[in-house]
Amino acid sequence: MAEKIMKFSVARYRPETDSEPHFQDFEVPYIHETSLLEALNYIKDNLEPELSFRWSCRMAVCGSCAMMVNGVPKLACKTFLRDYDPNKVMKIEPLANFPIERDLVVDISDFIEKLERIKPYIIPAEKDKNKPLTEGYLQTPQQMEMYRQFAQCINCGICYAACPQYKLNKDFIGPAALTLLYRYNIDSRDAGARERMKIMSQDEGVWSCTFVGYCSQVCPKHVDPAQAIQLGKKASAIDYVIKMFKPGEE
Amino acid sequence: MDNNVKSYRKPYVRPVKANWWTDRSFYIKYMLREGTSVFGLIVALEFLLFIVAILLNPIQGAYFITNFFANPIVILVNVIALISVMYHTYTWFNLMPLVVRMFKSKEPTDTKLIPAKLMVIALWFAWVIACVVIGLVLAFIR
Amino acid sequence: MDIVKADVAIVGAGGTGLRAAIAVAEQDPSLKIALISKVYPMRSHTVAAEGGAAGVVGADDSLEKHFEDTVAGGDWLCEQDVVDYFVAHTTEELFQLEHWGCPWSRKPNGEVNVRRFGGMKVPRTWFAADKSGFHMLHTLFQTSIKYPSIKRFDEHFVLDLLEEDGQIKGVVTYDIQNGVCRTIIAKSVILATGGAGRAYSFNTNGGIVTGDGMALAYRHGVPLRDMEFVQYHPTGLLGCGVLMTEGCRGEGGILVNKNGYRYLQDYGLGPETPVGQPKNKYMELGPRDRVSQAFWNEQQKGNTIKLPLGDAVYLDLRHLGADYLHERLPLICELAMAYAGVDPAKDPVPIRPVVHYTMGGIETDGKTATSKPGLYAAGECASVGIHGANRLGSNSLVETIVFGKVAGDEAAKYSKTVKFGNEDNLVKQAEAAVLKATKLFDGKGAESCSKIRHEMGDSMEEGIGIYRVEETMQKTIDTLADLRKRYKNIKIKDTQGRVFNTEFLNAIELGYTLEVAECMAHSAINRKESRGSHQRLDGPNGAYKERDDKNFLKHTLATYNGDDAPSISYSDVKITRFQPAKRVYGAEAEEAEKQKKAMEGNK
Repeated sequence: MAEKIMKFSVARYRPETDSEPHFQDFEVPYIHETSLLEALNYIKDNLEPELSFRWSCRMAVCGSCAMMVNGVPKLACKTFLRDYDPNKVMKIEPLANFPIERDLVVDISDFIEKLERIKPYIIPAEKDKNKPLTEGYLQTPQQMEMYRQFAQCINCGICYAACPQYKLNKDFIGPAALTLLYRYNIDSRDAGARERMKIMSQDEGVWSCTFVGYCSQVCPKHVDPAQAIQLGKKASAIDYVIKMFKPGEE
Repeated sequence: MDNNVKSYRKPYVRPVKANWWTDRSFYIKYMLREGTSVFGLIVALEFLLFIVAILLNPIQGAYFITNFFANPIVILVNVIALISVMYHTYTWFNLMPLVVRMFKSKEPTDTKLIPAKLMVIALWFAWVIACVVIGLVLAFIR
Repeated sequence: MDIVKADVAIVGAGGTGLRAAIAVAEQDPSLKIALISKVYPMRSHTVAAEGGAAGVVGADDSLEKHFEDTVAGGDWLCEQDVVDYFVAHTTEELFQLEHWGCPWSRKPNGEVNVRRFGGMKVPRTWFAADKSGFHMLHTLFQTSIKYPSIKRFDEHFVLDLLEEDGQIKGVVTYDIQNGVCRTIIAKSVILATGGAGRAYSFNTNGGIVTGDGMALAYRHGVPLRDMEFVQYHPTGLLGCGVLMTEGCRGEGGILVNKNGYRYLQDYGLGPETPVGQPKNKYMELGPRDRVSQAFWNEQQKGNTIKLPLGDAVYLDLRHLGADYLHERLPLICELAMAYAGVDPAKDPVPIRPVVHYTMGGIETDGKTATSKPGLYAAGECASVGIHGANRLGSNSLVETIVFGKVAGDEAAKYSKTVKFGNEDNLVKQAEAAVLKATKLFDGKGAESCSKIRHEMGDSMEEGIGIYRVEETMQKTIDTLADLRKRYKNIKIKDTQGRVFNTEFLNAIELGYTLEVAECMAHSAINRKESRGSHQRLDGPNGAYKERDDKNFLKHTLATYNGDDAPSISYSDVKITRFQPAKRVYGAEAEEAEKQKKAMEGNK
């Protein structure tokens, strides 16, 4: 199999010595199956051992290796060199909209904090609180299908890199976290929707979204966060109307 | 955790450029979609103006409206507005299905959602009917 | 140095670590928990598990059947009392996850559905499509957020355990993001760091699966048990090794050689079952060791398909149809398409056996306690005794939660009976450990870390593979000894980097993996028989080709010896009621079952 050569321009930033990021060029041989992650590991093993990036599973499920490829947020392990023009340079940068920690590693602690904030766990109804461990809830395939797609998020952060609202306002809870919130709200086992409504309806919640829709376009798992957020807006609006007629109800 | 911990961190925050939306065609289309709402506003203001004019004086108001529409600049603005609003409608009709998540049947085993395409077609169908009805009403008034 | 105190420190935040943390928090909310992980919890490799988790629910199933499948599947090298505990607690743990929100696939009536899996008599594998590990991990992570007493130390890498008077009293960590070291003083420590598949070049494991916890315990004198038993999963994608779940075969997928022949019928797994009608313990639903070994034999016969990336056989799923595949195996469809360019609904998928799982690990008793007071281990890093010489698919995902909970409960109880260690003493130890680790920073070495890593992986594939002979095993042992020497002279280029210095991190990991690999090799060469995943082709007159219960119905223990090779010793296997017999599958198994029933009838 004939090996081809791909040219890379990779963003470097070393907090100990650099004041701002710069680019370093590499050339990597590749075959039909070579992923960007493999190319980066080739660079680390053979050309520049210093280069830092997160990775683990190699199969697009752990969510570690999100980065910007020619300006588009992608998982490095699910990006293949064969899809790029070998006569051009592939530009690799850290995931947009997050602070750069080092090279291609970004600080995602803000995103993680938001995931934690939205109460992403089943809040059972009073009658289900002491359900014995010998039985489960009944949940039909259709009831599961209601939230299944929104439960596929791998927390890679790509939707945050795609979101102009998050770029402009870091208080925005953001696509993945709001999707997870909605996922639990519509799970038939959950009774916590009212508790989460406050979070969803606040300024940083669903109403900060202007439905750009790029998050859904780039999501590597087809979670469609934009849809979850619009459905959240619908629920929030209905809740607002109900509160107008029944004030004082929590 | 102790606050006197030394950290070697020096995170670099990339500046947000004013022209960030020119980076990707997707963002440009989004800005365009949002921009078209300005023309929606113009059309709405036009209507408001007409209503006020007619209410103040039905005869002079009608005269004013006829003259107003004869103005070539107004015609141009309205042609642009029509195209813009059509584009806006197009984008919204494409996004609408996302807010409606309906299964084909109520069978507990049915996990197939009504496809978005079908809903978009239904919306355009409704749009055509609305246009025809409005046209008929206008023709009747004349 | 920064110091944190916790009642229970847990190293690793995959399925086991998270379940342990929740167990501690539920037992006593006043206990402080430090949950330490070198990655964010949802990156842990539990995430990649696909097929499912075994738990008896069906009316046609029983705990006894699960017990027998597990012990026979492990070629009688299982601790039978521990297996009894295990099978009795799987279902409640799986229901617990269901209550916490895990989206288990359902039957039309809303009950949890189960699927067939290799080596299991009846369908008992709970599954969430083919992303069971992913959903379990995210459910556990998200549920853990509910408990304020769980304090996470994400992206903290453990450099060493801290010890006082023979008891484990904490860990010292490198805070990767801040670039500083942090001592975590704890009354008890649970290791839940996963396997060591990265000792091999061709594996299904994530880059993080480097055997850290095994090496940490090992260096502190805790033996590693049964390390020669490394599972080859029969169906890894050719080239990258990405896993094609056993669920593929559970749903009816078949394996064929270059002639389109279902070759498994030639290896004691027949007779052939009709396509699309999988039968438990027959053909493609044989245990992993047997199915992987069959590939090797087909390769010897020249029946494999020669492709640019190597030899393969085909996993054929086409007869299942696109709709069914997308419902039951969506991830498989996605992965085959992305990484092999094959649509399983239209074309067969080229696959080959690939290193997947370490059956062995840190020796623990049935309650996850190691020989060091205060130190517990659970999950893949531990050898609690349920997998024996070969693990059955879907037993390990459920192991993470069953024994994760046990470890949490036990460590919590223990922490209430002891005091914190002496702070000055422990910090001194921690500083010494940091000094030792950062010696790598002097930049004077000459050896390349990546070269050593690749040589280790290739040498393990060659010597400690599916079939083993003394000569190549010895070669691997020599190579590993040499690599350990060379490792002492490695060069770190980035001597300034403190924040996210992955070069430094990978170097430390490599040190861990090398030592674990050495345990695997030495344990293997000393086991002069064939059992489960350890198959030999040598011995006088081929004597090692057979199982030898007289001499080797024993656990191997590898004990740390500093720079020298590990010392190998043996311990007894706990057999309560299921006496060793010939391990049979397919028609042979049915025959054996009939005879057994007849015998019982006669009594």
